Amino acid sequence: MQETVKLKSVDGVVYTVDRKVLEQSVLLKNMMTDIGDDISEIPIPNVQSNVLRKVLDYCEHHKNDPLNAAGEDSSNRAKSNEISTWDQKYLQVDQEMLFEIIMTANYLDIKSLLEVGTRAVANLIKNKTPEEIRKTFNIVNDFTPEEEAQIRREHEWAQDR
Amino acid sequence: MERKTSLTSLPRSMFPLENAATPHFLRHFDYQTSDGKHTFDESSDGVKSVMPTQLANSVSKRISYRSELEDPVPKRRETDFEDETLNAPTEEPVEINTSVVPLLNANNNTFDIVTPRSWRSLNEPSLLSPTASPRSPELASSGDGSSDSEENEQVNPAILDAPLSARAFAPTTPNEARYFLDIPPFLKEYKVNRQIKDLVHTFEQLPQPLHRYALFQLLKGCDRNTLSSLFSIVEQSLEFDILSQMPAEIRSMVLQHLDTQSVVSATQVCKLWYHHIDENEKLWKRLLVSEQLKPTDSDFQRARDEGWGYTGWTTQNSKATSCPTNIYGIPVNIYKAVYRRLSLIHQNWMRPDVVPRSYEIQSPDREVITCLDFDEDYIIASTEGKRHLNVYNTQTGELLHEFTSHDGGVWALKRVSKDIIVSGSTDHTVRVWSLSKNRCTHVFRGHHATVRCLDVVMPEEGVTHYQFPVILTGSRDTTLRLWRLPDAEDPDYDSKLAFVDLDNPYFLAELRGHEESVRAVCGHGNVAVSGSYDYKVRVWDLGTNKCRHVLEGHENKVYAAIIDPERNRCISASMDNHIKVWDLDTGAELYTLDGHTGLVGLLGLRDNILVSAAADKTLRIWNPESGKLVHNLVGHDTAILCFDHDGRRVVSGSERHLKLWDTRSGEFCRDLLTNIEHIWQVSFDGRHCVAAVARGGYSYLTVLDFDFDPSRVNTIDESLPDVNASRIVELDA
Repeated sequence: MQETVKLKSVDGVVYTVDRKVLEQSVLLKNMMTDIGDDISEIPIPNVQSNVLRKVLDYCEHHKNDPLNAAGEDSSNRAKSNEISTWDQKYLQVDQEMLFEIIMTANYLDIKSLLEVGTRAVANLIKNKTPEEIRKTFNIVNDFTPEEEAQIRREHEWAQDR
Repeated sequence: MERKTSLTSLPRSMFPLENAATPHFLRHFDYQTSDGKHTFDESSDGVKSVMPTQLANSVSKRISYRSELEDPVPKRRETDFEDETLNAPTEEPVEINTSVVPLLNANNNTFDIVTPRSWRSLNEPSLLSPTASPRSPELASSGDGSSDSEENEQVNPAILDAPLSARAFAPTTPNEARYFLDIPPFLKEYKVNRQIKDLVHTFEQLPQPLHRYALFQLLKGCDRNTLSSLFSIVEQSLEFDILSQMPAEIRSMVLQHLDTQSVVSATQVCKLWYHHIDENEKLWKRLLVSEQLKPTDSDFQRARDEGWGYTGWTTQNSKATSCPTNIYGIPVNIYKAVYRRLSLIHQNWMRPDVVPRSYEIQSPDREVITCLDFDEDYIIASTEGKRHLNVYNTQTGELLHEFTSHDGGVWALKRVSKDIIVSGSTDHTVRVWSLSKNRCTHVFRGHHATVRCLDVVMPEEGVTHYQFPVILTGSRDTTLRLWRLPDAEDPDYDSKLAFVDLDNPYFLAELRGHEESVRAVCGHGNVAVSGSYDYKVRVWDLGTNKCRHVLEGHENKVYAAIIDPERNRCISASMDNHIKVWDLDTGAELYTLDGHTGLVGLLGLRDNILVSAAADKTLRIWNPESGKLVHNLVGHDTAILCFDHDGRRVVSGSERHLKLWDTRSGEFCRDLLTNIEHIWQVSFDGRHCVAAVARGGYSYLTVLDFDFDPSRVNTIDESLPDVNASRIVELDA
């Protein structure tokens, strides 16, 4: 069996990657198993080359991580509640890139990346006031003052805890 | 010249991207335009297609040129300046009528920036028709000209980055000084604007897929400060509502990582987020678990029946007339409504200034209340006195059943289901009671002394040897006995005579081995453990009913023994002040938990939290995995007599106090009862706390209820009429 597989992004950049690295993607793993050696080049639609490169960086770094049979390691990592230092640094990207990483992880079915990616978005929300969250994501407050007051009342139970 | 010195000594990294390698994805890629497919390849000197050849050429030239330069800092201003003023263009400007933008003459080693329009063209007022010089600037083209002292001068980066007004171009170098002298200010501004317009125009005419590459080349010439300011502009411009753009299932994943306070904050961001969060059942379900609010089925039933909403308060007697909605008229998320309610009840528990509603059930004389169990419907209490087993309505305190057939005090009690209770007594018998039949249905005889402890082991299909619930009893006669729990429809049975085990269809086995009283038993799966006054803990195999291990190590009577099924261990507590953790498979002693200085009589393991209580007036919270002490609960002034914990709260009783502690922080929260003389038992659930206490010569069951509207808080200052007084249930003497 060939050691490497070529991946082609939607904008036509080709990356040659070790099979082992790609096996973290359930989608690609199944594809490689099904088609075997005949794969010369796997096109990855919808994924731009810079995003694909970034996602491959992740797979490369984590290629030796233990993987559970059904890729169900995400639940274990979820328990640990922490993002590793490498992953933290890896995810220090602009929001567009973060979004694209998550969408690609979802498409390629890379559970652990989807897990840390969504966790990174959660960290952008955590421990912020509504106004701080709006600022973080460029969101306009579209509540009327009456609605705002009502919603505050609905959540009075969560104050001063 | 000082200025010059300071500028030329700038570190090279002032232009961080200058020598950056082209990223892989910019070096070689395919793209499509209206006129077909193209492949861009930086290394192969161009684009394998019609259009952007010049760009590719210019770019590759630029790279080769710059790599040859000793001082690779671009000198645009000088170039522009000299091009314009000294070497006036010799060719006429031509109209660009194709999409090909000649960026420079590929034959010259020149800068690949857009050639500014010629002097003459500046006089043309119209900017509508984009024109550009087809030739390249010549001045810097000689290659060796770069060593010219003037050219070594750097352009003040701030000027490049400054607003495009004449004012911003204060001359800082001789070149610039000349520039400013020679050109009238209004023309300067005009010219710069014009240059930029041309540059942008050129850029815009590139096929979109080449934009990244072209920009990357431009950025190479940008200094740190420019990159930094651009970076923050770009980064901010990329901020958007990620959460709303995600597919719902991924959004749900993000929300799963948030704590309650963050969720509440996020709900108030905008309408869209309000909907994302308010209607997400999975999210609120998860928060109920992670905050250990432990909703019961009856909580959800009540939420539906009473119509729990996001505001207001319903009581057990109220009936919902319509389904409560959120502010947009959508029916409330029942998990969120339950979360709110249970969260408020929890706050009532923890706030010292909130007085719980309460009532008491008084016993006629000072009987020892030996066992206590309750749920939202029934309180079951056993006494040493003549009323051996009493069942009360939890809400009202009304006496529902009075089971008196034991001939002695009940010292062991276990509820198996809503309907079935098993008890063990000083009369040596084990009895099974049915609440619905209102009587004792089964009597098992065989122990020769007081039945001191009991447990019921539930079957697990495919796991347990016995596929029915097994009653496990421990006695002062040093034995354990196993009995089959009768089915609900079984006829009543009483093994009238002792020593008739063979005739008793419910008798399973007698486990012999201990040499003294069995003080504690616990069963799970196919394993039973027992702790005895013979200082030993025994591990039994249910099925073969053989002793698997004798755990020796304690130096005094064992008072408590429990199983930790998650880690396949058992934990024992002894009069020797120690707690020991054992491996069920090997029988090895794993840890000795040191710290208590008196008899450790009580153990409780829930939600990965182990709590021990001792005669040394303290309780300790341990990590059951590591055996490490987490918190030491100090505050009682006499031995701890009873406690209960639910992973979040610990309630502990000593002679004068009933105290509440926060399990997570280990902090003392409040006294729940202070006016007592003795306490035997305590038990609590989310809403109620029931304590068996003695006061003024009588025994009481004191029931505290924390389920009430906190906005009408019974604070210590305002005593409500129904507190403590009106609902005392007097029992006939």
